Formats: sequence, C-alpha cells, structure tokens
Amino acid sequence: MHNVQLTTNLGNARTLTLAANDWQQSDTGIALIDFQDKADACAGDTKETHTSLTGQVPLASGESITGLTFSIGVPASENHQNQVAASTPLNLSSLFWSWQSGYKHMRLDVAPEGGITRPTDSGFSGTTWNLHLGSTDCTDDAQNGDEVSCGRNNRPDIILTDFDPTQNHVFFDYAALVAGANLSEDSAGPAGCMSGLTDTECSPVFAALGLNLTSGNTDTSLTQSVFSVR
Amino acid sequence: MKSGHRLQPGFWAGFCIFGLAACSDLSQTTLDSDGKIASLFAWNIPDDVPLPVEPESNPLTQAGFELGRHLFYDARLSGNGTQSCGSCHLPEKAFTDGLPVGIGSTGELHPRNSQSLINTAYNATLTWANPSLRSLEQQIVIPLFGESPIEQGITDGNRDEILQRLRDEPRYEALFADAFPDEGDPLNYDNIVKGLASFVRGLVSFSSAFDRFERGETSALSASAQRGRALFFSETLECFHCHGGYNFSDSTTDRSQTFIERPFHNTGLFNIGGVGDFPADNRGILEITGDPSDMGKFRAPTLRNIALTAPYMHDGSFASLPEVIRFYAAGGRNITEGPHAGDGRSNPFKDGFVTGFELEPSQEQDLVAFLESLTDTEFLSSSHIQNPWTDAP
Repeated sequence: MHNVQLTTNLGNARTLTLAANDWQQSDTGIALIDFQDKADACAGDTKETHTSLTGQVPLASGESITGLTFSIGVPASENHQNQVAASTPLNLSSLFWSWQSGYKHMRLDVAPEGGITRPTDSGFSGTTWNLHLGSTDCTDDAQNGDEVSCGRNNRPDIILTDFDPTQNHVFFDYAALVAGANLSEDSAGPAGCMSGLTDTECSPVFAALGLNLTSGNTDTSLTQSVFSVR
Repeated sequence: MKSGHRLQPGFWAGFCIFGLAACSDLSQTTLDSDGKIASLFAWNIPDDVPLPVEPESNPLTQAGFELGRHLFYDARLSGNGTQSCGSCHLPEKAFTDGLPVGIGSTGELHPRNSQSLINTAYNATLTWANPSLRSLEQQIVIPLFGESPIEQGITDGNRDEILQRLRDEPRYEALFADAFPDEGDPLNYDNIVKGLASFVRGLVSFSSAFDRFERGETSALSASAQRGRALFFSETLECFHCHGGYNFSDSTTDRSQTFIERPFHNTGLFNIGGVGDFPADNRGILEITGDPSDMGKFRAPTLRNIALTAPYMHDGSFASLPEVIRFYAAGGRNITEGPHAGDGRSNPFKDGFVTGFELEPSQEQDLVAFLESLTDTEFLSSSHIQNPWTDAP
C-alpha cells in the first residue's frame, strides 16, 4: 500500500511518514502488509509476517486522529522500475507483475478444500485460487527509459472513518473479498482473478474492493466491503 | 516515446575517456555524429543493415555477450537446477526447441511456442504478444521469475541459493568482473539479466543464402527458390506485408528509425463460437490491453531460419511449412468440431491481408525452397554462440 494518510478532527489529511524497515520505505511511502507465514501447506520455509504499519505523523495541539485513508498497491512512480535492482520490499519476486512491467498490488492465493474444477473442461484440476491485483493495459518499457502508463491502474483507494489508532485495528475480511466468487470453480484462464478485463472471476472481487473493472478506478457508486475499523 | 533510449554521442565519448581499453573493440566501427554506428560490439553485419538499438543502461560489449552465453546455457540458473535458457532455445534449431509449446523447469507447459532468438535485437516488441515489452532486460525477468507459467522457477525462497551456485563456479568471477569492471560485487540479478540480454541481443545474423543472393551472388538461390522469392514478394500472396523488410517482420526497429510501429495480427487461426474468440489461455494482446478488437492478435515473427523452427504459429498448431502455406492459402483455419470449433476464415478481427490465394503444388514447393534459403547455417554453427560448458575441463 501507499499514500497512507490520517484524517483528523480539524479536517486535515496528514501523511503518515513510514518508519524505514524491510517492509516499509519511508521515502516512497510504500509498505508491504504480509500475512503469509508459510506455516501451512504453502511451498517454502516459514517466514516472518508484517501486519502493522509503523510511522510518525505530526499533530497540532488539540488535534486527534479520526480516520485513515490509503491506496492499495505500488504507486505509478515506483511501479515500473528495474525490479531486479529494486530495494526491499520491491525486490520480492513473488510480487513481480513483469508481463505488465510492474508489481502485483495485492496477492492472495488460497488452496480451497476439494480443489478447483472447470465445468467446461473435465480434464482441468487446480489446487490454488489466486487473486493477483495489478495494473493492466500498460504501455512502453521502463527499461528503455520510457515513462510507462497503464490504462487500468487497479489501485483501490480505501477510506476508513471512526478510527482511533490507540483503540482500533483495521480489519481485513477475506471472506467479504471473495463473497461473490466460487472458489471451487473456474471458468477459464488462470484459476481465480488475475485482473483481466475478460476474467470472469474478477467481477465480484473488484466490486468488493470498490474498483470498477472496466476503468480500473475506485468507483464511488460501489462501497468496498473488505476493510473495516474494529 | 522518449528519445532517451537511443544512443547519445556524448554518452559514448564519456565512456571512452574512462575506459580506453574498451575502445579497442571499436575497430570495426567509428563514432559518427548520430551515434548510429557507434558500438563497443563487433556486430559483423552487412553495411546496408542498420544496427539495432542498444539501451544506455546496458551497452553491448564482448564481455557482456560472453558472460551472457555462460548464463544462458547454465542450468544452475533455474530453481531446481534442471533447465537453462538453452533448454528451450537450442542453437541448432535457430534457438527454438522443436516442441509445440515450451516446457518449464518444473514440467509446466507454457501456453506458447518457444520462439527463435535470432535478431530479437531488432524486435519492436518481444514475445508473441505484448505491446509493452520492448527491451530484453524487461522481458528476461519473465522466464526467470515468472509463476504463470513457471519457466526457470527462481523464487524469493531460492534466489540466494542460486546466486551462491554461481559464486561457487570458478569461471563466473572473471566473467562478471570483465562485463562490469566498475562494480565491486557484480554477481547479482541485475547483472545476470543484463548479461543474458547482451548474449541474446548479440545473436544477429544476415548471412543466409537469400542474403548472398541479394548481394549479387546469383548462384546462391536455386531456380525454384528464386521463383518462390517472386511469389513471396507478390501482391497475390501478400506475405511481405507482415513478414517484410530486412528481418522479415513488420515489427522491426533499429537505430535509423524515427517512427516505430508495433503491429499485431489476427491470422484467422481460430473463431470459437463464430464470435472471433481464441482459446482462453492464448488470446494475443487482448490479454494485455483488454481491448476486445485485440482478440487473437500476435506479433509476426521473423521468417529468418524458419525452416528450423517447426512446429509453427504461437501455439505450435502446424508441423510443417507446407501446412502453414496451405493455412494462409485458405485465408484461415476452419475447425469443424470440438471445443475450438469455428471458422477462422471469417474471424471478425482477422487481418485484411489474410485473404487467401491459390497455389499450384510446384509453386508451393518453390515457396518452401525460398523459405529454406533464409536459414543461416554459418551463423548457427559458429562456435561463439554455442554452449560453453560442454568443453569444460
């Protein structure tokens, strides 16, 4: 995520300056939230997770935090860099989205019990239902010195109110994210949603994130149901 | 487009001040005001063929090419140590593998046919269908780290182990140091990608029988191949519209070009359900752009060395050149049954030049003879592009 701002009782939107660590970049304001400890059936050794943001925000006297806004994904200015020379956490190859010259903005791969079938293809047998959110319809090549732009940015803006950092957590609800999807079935292409305009699994997932699948922008007529304050 | 990726004269002048030793490689070319023929690499191509573009961030050098050759043929550069780039790109098959589709290091099938790597330095875009992949440095990240499908299978979990494998190989210390003399510890993934890109960029060939014929050696082509040549460049067959120019592809760029075209074509290979669809895992640049009219559009590959690169098309649909010629003669492919049924000849997104033609059997043979004359045996058998590990002591 990036562009983390705290809204206050004085009506300000104050940028959270992230502490620099392996998961957070203070200069770009990019942070990776990582819930995957690989203690389950995921391939690879168990690993650390990073489930909270740390940083500083200046507040005036009498000013208090009342809300939180952020954008999911890697901002355009950092999304099309030389990935094999990038600094952490943008050096993680599992988040490369190289076919669109960028990064996965969000990745959630799950292994549904009973596997995944495809009604139109009896020979199909999948194990993982993937959600890979990333910018699509990208043009030009950063490695050539071009400025890359993408037709569909697919970076949801999340706005949360009634948030007091001393009392509340931000709750991420995977069940809400896939509530409209059937995890045991796939129509075609990669199992799950890989952000394609014609990927039928993407429609309910994008709607849950408040994203317009066609434009790739946050759609104010949709209400995101995935993030909440608890 | 920015002009930044073209060579700037000032850049080269600066390079030479600080690296005089490297300038000895300039013996075949001289610096001119446009930078159009400036290079540290001995390209060995005819004077009438423009040089390909070199990225400022990775100018081609002999040392970079040699490092890349070692990496290209090194199976240690895959997650499980079983597969190198050269496993799917064999020099004797013009850097293809003879299979309908590629097979990754973990056994996963690639949806697409492994492409020839000859003259990719001239490609306006890379791979079969991606308008934004324009540099080898960007493209090579995909086979190394890609997960859908897995090719080399490098992951966050094994990337350090793979680097250690390369550190343990005695040859690499000097190879990396020669290619990146200004860096203290050059063995890293950035330079691995740059090395691989350098080797592939340097695989440039223009010495087929056809090339000799064009340069005035009339005996280089048989009478049959010469008749096939006339057919190929005729308005009746229309082949040259997509497979034209010195690299036999309309998706070609070089240092002399100001306006770069990046075309893609639907050739009528499928028309599933009569609505223009291609199979779900192979829809061309629609997968990138999301534009419905981009269904089934793929880049026209070079026809150089085409006789060595069967099977053909993006999914290996056709086993032989006569099959491909009959496909174009029919103006597309009619699939009458099965899940892909549909008449590709009437695909609504089909390219306007794929309209069909009639050929006598002898003319088909002539056309095949011409296509066979595009094979550059001399280059493909030359020692400087072969696997360097087979002669290990």
